Amino acid sequence: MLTPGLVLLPLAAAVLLACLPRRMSIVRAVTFVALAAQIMAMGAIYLSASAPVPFEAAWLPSLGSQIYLYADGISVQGLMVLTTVLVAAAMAELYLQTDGSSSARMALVFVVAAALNLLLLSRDILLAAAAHGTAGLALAALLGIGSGLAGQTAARRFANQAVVGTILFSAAAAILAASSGSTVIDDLTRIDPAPARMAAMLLTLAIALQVPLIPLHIWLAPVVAAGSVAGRTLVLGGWCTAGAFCLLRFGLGLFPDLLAYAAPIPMLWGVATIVYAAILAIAQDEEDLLRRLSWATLATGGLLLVGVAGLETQPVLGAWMQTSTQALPRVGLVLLAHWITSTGARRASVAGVWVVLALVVAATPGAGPFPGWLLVLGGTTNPVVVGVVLLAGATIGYALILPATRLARASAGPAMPRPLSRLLAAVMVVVALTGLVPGSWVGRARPDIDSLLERIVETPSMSDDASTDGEAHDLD
Amino acid sequence: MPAPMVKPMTWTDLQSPELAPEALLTVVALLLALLDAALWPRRASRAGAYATLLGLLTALALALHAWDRPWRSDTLWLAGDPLAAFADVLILCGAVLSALLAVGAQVSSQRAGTAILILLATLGAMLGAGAKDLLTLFVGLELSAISLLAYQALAAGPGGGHGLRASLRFVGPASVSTVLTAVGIACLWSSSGGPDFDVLGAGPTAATAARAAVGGGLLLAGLALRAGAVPFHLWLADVAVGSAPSAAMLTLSVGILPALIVLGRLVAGPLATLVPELDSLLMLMAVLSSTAGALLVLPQRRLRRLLGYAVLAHVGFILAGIATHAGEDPFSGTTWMQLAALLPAVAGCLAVSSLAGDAPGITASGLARSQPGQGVLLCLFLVALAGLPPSLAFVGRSALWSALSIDAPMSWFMMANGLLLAYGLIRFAGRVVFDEPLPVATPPATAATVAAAVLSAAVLLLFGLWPLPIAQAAAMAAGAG
Repeated sequence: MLTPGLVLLPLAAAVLLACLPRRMSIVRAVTFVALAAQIMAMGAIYLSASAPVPFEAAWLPSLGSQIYLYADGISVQGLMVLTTVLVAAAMAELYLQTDGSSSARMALVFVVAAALNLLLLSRDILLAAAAHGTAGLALAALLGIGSGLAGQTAARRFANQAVVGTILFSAAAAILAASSGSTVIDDLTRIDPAPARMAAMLLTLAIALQVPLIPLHIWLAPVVAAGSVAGRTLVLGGWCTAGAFCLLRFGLGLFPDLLAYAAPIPMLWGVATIVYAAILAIAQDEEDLLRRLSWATLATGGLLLVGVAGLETQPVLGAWMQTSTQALPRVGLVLLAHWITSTGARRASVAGVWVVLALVVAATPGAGPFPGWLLVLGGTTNPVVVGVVLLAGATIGYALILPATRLARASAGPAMPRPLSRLLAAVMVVVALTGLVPGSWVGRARPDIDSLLERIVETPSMSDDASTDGEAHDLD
Repeated sequence: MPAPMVKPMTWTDLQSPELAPEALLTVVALLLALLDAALWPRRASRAGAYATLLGLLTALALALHAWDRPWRSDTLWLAGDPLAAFADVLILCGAVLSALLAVGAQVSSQRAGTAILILLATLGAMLGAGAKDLLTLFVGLELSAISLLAYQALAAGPGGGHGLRASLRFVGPASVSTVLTAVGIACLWSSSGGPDFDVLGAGPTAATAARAAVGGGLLLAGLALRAGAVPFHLWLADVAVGSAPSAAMLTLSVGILPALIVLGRLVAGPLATLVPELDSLLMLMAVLSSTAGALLVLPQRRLRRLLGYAVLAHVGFILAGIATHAGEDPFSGTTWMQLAALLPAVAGCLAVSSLAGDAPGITASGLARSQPGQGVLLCLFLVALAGLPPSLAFVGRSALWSALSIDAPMSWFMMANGLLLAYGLIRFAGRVVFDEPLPVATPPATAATVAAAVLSAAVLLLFGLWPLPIAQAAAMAAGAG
């Protein structure tokens, strides 16, 4: 019964923060207790030897919707990433926010955490859509509250994409409910072709907005460049990672046959996203660290799609590993970039930290994202795609490392605050551990990835449809 | 065709628990009217509003008590099924919120007795929504319309020119609606041989079918006028802007709501057979209403006008829910869920508008900065009107999407309108949160208005996170026919 706790604990913390007096000592106490509880609950789920027990309760019977929470291997990894990102966001709000921390923003941090935890745990697509919308709206408010005009504009833009994504998500769920009588993904083993196509199209748009992928990425750069630090941390570390999870769980999990049917469009879409991101990253003003980081994030979404479009265990597993292990170093980079931009700090040690984290994001050997990156490239059979992805990846790595030379040349600004340096050190330790010992990461996710891919054989709805239309296609 | 056997209403029927809320409201309204006349001249006090609130709360408790009782098909005039029970509960909830807003309004001797009109309007709406024949329907709707008109004009108090103007704006459509409904009822009665809903569908012969279709069409137009659907929507935003918050809330709960409920019952029953292509006609009206509402929400900077157009868009969504189930069940669960979400969202917006000063041109920009609590509540209500999570409206809207056919272009229009409406409302919420607050003097918050806002927010959030009880009640009501 720990899975509902992962939603209720942060929610209770948010309610407490909203109701208790706004003294900083109280905010700190509630935050630390809630973080400790979240870490312990997460640790208990991760270390539990027995198979997890799903939590089921009726939610909306007329649509066949349930509160169906289940922590499989992919969910557990996503939740672990979210927990670390939540800790980073809470620390950023407490110690790194320029105008001081606020109880309202901290409450919103926990609302976002609860909603994203629900999104990762839910096996019901309508409930997941509700979680998506709640997280999106709370994140928009978190980004804008206490920010300047640029932050508010970014928050409005983020709110718009979240609203559009939620409505598309819920419409897809409603179409599936109408055709199959249920919105629980385990019940949706055979979907009629017409509703399946429509729901898949709506879901694709919603997920492409969240991951993000071109041309639906226009909200990303303004959000990374402005807004509250905690909000940006959660967007880059939590929101985009949850989008990657949704692509696996609801995209690949529900419509693997459609993904195979649409080949090679998904792969081309992913490659185009990577190339576009690489061009923008290298063309970006060298001083604009945050926008460079946003283009690197866009490229990660592209690589995820390339891996998922491979429709084999190796590239799909690699894509998930690469995306999930990149979240934390990306959060480290955004916190460092925010501090550098807001204080104008320049010195060799700062440049050194920047280079290390940039190399991690660029999937250098030894870093957490490297095994995943290797699996994606190794599992991609098209040599042209491999070549383009390699070239674009190298360009993005170069674009991220390049500003370090300018940072190292001068010595100005304040010393790095202790909370930030400790946080970055912790990020580097975690990243090194996941890079050096990737076995546990692979072992947890592989069975679930395999079961997702098995549905390609089990759900012949599109194949039936295609054969009746006289359109032959080969799943291989 | 043999005339249906008419059984006279007995004292036992009046004592039946299904009719207890109506009986109680009648007694309380008469009693308060007598007291108001006996204790002349009126003093500036809230006693009348509190007595009205108490009466409505008691009636609501009785309605909730009767909810899960076995259905009765032997009642005369008024239905005693879960559908009628759900309608009674919804109307009473709206009336209670309206009475709370009335209690929270400024005190004056002129408006001390006006709260009694809330009771009469609610009684009329409940009679109309639960009617089993055309005459009871007409009497109920007229009682609520006349009481509502008088309340709109008087609730603004001395110097409330806006309220009077809003009432005058409403009087034209209400009169036209009365005429259309009366002529429609006459046509239907003469073509079917009786006023009972049960005989309407089966009564007309080939010779009288055209008259029945005309009658059904006129009745439909009369109800659409009361509901404010396009092309009969021109009064809606003006009433939302000009009326006092309690009068605006009452317009929704006893004006628009019963019209939609009756429309749903008739469309699923006799009108489906009498009026050809009824579902297409209703869907067209739904698309036009939701499109007009969503498009008109976009440029609004004033809260009350925005609310008026948002309600118009919702009328479109509810009509779409009714159209998708024309001729099937009396009401789809979809429609009930949407109505249940609309009431607290509108009441909450009106309560916040009242707390923030209730000037007709209130923009609420920067309200979250000057009054954080009110700003947060208003954002929640706007999110609910947008049909987004974590509010109850998300569930209702998702149920509507599932009821629409994906092959019909109209369905995609509805979804696009849902997106547009959500965009407009979230953009407005952005102004509430981020803009600089305007220097507007705000009156001290009254406990009743705060209670209305908090109650609405609690209902929206609680049932948004746990919609099962409402979904089950809606499913039960939908299966009543």
